[in-house]
Amino acid sequence: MAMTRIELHMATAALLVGSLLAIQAVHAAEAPAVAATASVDSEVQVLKDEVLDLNRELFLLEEELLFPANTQVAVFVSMDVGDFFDLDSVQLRIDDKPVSNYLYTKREVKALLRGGVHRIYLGNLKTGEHELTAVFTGQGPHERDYRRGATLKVEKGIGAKFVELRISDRESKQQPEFLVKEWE
Amino acid sequence: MRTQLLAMLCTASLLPALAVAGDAVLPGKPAPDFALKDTAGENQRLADWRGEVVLLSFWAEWCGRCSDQLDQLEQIRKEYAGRGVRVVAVNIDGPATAARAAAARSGLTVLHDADQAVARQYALSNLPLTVLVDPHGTVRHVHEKYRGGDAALYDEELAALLQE
Repeated sequence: MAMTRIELHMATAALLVGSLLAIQAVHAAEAPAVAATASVDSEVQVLKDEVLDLNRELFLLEEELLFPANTQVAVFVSMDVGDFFDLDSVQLRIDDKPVSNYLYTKREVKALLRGGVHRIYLGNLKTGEHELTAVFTGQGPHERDYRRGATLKVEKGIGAKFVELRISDRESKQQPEFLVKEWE
Repeated sequence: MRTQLLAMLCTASLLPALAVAGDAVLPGKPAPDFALKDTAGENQRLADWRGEVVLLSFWAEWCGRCSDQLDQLEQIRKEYAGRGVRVVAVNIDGPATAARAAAARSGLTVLHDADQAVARQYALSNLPLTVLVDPHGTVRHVHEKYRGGDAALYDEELAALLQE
């Protein structure tokens, strides 16, 4: 059923692109007046927007197919403050199998500090209990190399599961804090 | 000397295995994104250089042609300085010594792929492997090995990309 929808969307997108090209060709041949050109421009813009919308829908459908809600697991990284920790990389293991090892550039760390959230992993897991381990590396207080792990046991049910790896500062101890928590 | 020979044999014997690990990098396809440490220890990501033409070259210390090519790449870097071209040399040796030395004697961006994970992504089978990536992140030209005169070809291709 979903494949049929994708095919339908692709056919519509192809039709729209075809119409777009046809409109452009016809109008180019007629050497249109200024008003007509403006009208064609707006039509082309509308068609382009529709193609973009269809692309977006196609992307969502593809994601639904590859990562169905009943098995989907997504893991996100976020950072708060970051005075005591300069993030270098995050290594993620699920059930002791490495699934992601991500190096963060200065630009990416800046984006995280501005409130950005990075999806480090998207995959499928069977229902049941799973162990998720994240290892954070970077520089801690006094520019010392810092490596810290955090583990969470997650119970994968029928719905999609979202997990956040949160790096924040613990002011009282002047140390970074690493939390792994599930989104409700 | 023996250690160097051993390192050369080890890396050379790995090359066919690397070739089967990833899909071949083809012109017209998106360049596989990666992040590696540079010789100063900073993480660098290919996607961060969108908007620039990137000349990417994979090399190893034991590969004689690679050092000839590095000298030419440095010339190209100087020639295209300030014109939206980034020349990146990815060293695939285990130890970082050769990468550090290359960075010290040139202005090239030298990255170190110690576990050859990126080399696998790029299906490396011959050294040097040179990949030209356009400002949209698409592979435009791929060259394996290095012969005298290839630098002129890179120069031509870079100039054409900059004119687009």
